[in-house]
Amino acid sequence: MRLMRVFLRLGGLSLAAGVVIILTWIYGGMRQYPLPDLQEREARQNRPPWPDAGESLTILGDGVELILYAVIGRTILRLRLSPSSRSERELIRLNMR
Amino acid sequence: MKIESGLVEPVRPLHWRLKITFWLDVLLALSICSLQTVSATGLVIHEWLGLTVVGMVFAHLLFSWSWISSTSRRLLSQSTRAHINYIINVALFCSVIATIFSGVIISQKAVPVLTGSKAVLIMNWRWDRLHNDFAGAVLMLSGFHIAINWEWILAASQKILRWIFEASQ
Repeated sequence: MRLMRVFLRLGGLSLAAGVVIILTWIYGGMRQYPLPDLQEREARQNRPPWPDAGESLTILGDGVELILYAVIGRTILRLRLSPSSRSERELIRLNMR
Repeated sequence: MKIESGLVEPVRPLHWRLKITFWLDVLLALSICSLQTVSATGLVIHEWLGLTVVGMVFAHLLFSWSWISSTSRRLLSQSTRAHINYIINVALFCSVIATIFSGVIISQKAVPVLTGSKAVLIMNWRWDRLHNDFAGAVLMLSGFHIAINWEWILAASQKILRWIFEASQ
């Protein structure tokens, strides 16, 4: 019964993903982009198949970017919105037990 | 083990669900960061990790199902914060699916292996550009997702750290 419920939820998520894929396909078909220049095309076409040690620090940069977005979001949400409701806090607690 | 007034009490085990959810989320955040720059991971790891993220996102959503179903049912009567949280989550889900889908279209390593087909020789530049745009949106919305769920992250981190500290003693 529990497994059935999980499969039903997975089915629902897959259905939602399918709808998003169709919408993305339509959106992608409508968008027109100029071709990148030859140098960029060459670089993007022949990306290194294995990790480049010299580029590993860029992951840290992306981590910093993620934190920056979180801080921006935190600042905006704190200033503009009411704190989480009691029922929301209950849900948070329920998920943690 | 905790000793109080002569009695030996076992440390209450942390619920497996919280542990899995927490580490899954940490793994997801790390994966999203490392997927942003292809040259850092290489194309092979980038594509396989990208496909794995679908499974991680679905698992993340299954663990958050109680929130999804209760908020969806009472969406109109929810607070502004809940509405914004819901919109961010839907946008994040759409961005992740769109990123993976566009990644599958331009795949040169993982999808040809899975389907047994030959990798496309000429890149589809339109989908390559869209893939980049969607990936940028995923990073931004993930940051907002972290921001709005900050209380949960903080509380879960405290519980997990306390559990690690108590278990090591």
